[in-house]
Amino acid sequence: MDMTNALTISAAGMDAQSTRLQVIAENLANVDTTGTTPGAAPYQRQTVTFSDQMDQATGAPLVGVSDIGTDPAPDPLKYDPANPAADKQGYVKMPNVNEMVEIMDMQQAERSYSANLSVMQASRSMLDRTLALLQ
Amino acid sequence: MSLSLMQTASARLGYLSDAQNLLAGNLANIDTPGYQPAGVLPFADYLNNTGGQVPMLQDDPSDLPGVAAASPAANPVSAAGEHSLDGNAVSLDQQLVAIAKNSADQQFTANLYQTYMGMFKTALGSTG
Repeated sequence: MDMTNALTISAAGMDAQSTRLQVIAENLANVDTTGTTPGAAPYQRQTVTFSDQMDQATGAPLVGVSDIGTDPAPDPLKYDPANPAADKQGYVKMPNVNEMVEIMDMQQAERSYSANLSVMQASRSMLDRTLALLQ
Repeated sequence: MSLSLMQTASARLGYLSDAQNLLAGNLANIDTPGYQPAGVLPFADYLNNTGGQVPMLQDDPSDLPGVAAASPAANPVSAAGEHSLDGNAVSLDQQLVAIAKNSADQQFTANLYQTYMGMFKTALGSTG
């Protein structure tokens, strides 16, 4: 019956989405991060996984980040003999970050964030109307 | 004047508040793999669960004896909308529509309650 639960749930959703956005920003910032020695592994794309978590105190179905892992996809090779990370054949292992995938993911995170925000606004105005009954 | 409208309105406000919590939970889990959204029990069923007459709710063991609070989340409904690849069945548009409806219903009930209170005040004021 507690109206503030809805605000807590939406806040948890927004928190999870901003962690996701942070991971996307890391991936995009490291889109060209290669190793420094020949044949060294480049930056590995980070992935974020959500899970539903029951709040013990209120029984509210919150959401949280359950795991930040790495993408096991193979690293693409790029021919660049001048790079310090180039192997004997002149190929450099590039990070397995796809900018298109990241940008799409970013837009989805933004959409989910604003959905949570509008629920929070709706819950707040409901709360305001209930409190106005006291007047 | 009967007080039953007040009781019904207050039960309705409690129900809408519970429903809002439920819908907020569904939307927060919109990107959780395999999450199934919970459906909101219709108000009539919610009232039936609590004995039809809108009895006093007992949320806490220390409250006065009453009926245990029925949760509107009693029937998990699988949404007929989109299913994403990770098995999540929350549909953004359906949930947002439900939230908008919930908010409008709450406004209606709050206004009704306020109007009724105004009538009460008028009736009380005319005697004194």
